[in-house]
Amino acid sequence: MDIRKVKKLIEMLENSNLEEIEIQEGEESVRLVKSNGNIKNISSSQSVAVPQMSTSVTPKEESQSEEEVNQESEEGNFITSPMVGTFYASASPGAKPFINVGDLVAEGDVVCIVEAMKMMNEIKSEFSGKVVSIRVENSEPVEYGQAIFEIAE
Amino acid sequence: MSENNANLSEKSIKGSLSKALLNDIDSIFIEDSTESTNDNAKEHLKTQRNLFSVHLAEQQVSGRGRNNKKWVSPHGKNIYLSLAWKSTLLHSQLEGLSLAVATNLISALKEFTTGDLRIKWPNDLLINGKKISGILIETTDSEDGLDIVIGIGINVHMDESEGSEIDQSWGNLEENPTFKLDRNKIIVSIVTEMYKLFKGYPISGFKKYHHVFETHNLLKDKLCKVETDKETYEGKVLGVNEVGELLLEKNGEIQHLRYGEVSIREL
Repeated sequence: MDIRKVKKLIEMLENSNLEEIEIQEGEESVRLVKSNGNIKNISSSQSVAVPQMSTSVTPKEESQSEEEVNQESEEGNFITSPMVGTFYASASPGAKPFINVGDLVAEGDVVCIVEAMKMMNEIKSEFSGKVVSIRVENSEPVEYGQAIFEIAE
Repeated sequence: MSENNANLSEKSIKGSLSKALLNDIDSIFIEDSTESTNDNAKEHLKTQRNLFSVHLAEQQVSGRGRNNKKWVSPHGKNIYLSLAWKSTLLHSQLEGLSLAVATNLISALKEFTTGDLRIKWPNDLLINGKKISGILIETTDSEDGLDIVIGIGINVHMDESEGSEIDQSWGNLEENPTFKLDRNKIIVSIVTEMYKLFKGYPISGFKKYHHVFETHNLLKDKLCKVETDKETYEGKVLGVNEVGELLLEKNGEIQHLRYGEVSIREL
C-alpha cells in the first residue's frame, strides 16, 4: 500500500474518536489501533493493490457528525481536506483557480489552499486524472476528511 | 543613515548564533530589496538540505500578509524575516503552530521593549494596543513532511508617514524611534527562539506553549466580535484551547473558532 495512504490513515485516526481503522484493498490490508490516544499497532499484509476499497470502522462511542470519517460511497477518487479550515480555490483573492472542472491534474499538483489560523496550506493531488467535480465553494469552511475534488482516472 | 541604524549583516547575525543552531542552518540570505521574503524562502525549500534557512531583506516590494493584503515594507526600517523549515510535521500536527510561533516571538522581543506585548489571536503582536508584527505561515507537502515558511514582519522604527496607508492602529517595537535598536540583534533573538520551536514543537505540539500564550492573550475576558466570510459571532473570549481554537462564550454556549477576523467590541 502507498505509504502516503497509510500516513493519511494515521492522520485520520488521530483526528477522530475512532479506536481503530482497518482498510482492505484486494488482498492488501492495513489495521491501525489507537491506544491511550496514540497509534500503537500497525499490522499489514501485502500483495497486489486492487483499486476497489472497502473500509470497516469501529466507533469508540457515539461519534459526532462533524468527526465522521468521510467515506464516499460513489466511485472515483476524491481529494479530501487534511484539516479543518477554509477552502480557497486560488493562491490569492482574484487570482485564477488552481484547477477547474475538466482540467487534467497530475499527482503532486497543487489543487487548492486550506487556511487554518492564518496558515495557508497548499494541498496537492494524490491522483492523476481529470477533474470531474469541485464540491466546495471558494472560501467555504471545510471539515477534516471532507471531499473537495473528484478526480477520474 | 545614522550610525545606530546598522544595515542587516550576515556576519553580525552569525557571530551571535549558537554553534548547534549554525549546524542546522542552510544559509542566511540578505537582500537589499526583494519581492517577498516568503517567496524566497518557498523557492529555496525546493533544494534545501538542512533543517532551516533564513531569508531577510531591507525592503520588500510586494510584502504581503493574509489574503494578499499588502505588508508595508519600507527600506531599512523594519524586519522582514522568513524562515524556511523542512519539518517532519503532518497536517494534523499543524493545529496551534501559528499560535506557538507568536508565543516564541513574544519571548524573542520582550527584551527589546518595555511596552505591554500582547498576542491578538491567532498571531498578531501588539504593544500597548498597536500592531507591531504580523505572521504569515505557508505550508506545502514534501516527501518527509511539511515544508513550512514562517514569515514575520516587525515594525521597528518606521516613520509615521511611511505607515500612513496601514488601515489599522500600528506601532513600532521601538516607541518614539531613536534608532537605538540594532535589527541584527533582534533577528538573532528571533532566530534563536524559532530554532527552539523547530526542535520542540514537533514533540510537544501547542500544549507546551498554551500557558505562555494565555498570559499574553489580548482578547482574554474581552467581549469580541469574530467575523468570517459567512457568519459573525459575538461573545466573551474565555481563552484558547490546547489546539489553539478561540473559545467564545455566549449565554453559556461555547463556540470553538478556527478562523475569522476578531475585533474587540467597544463598550
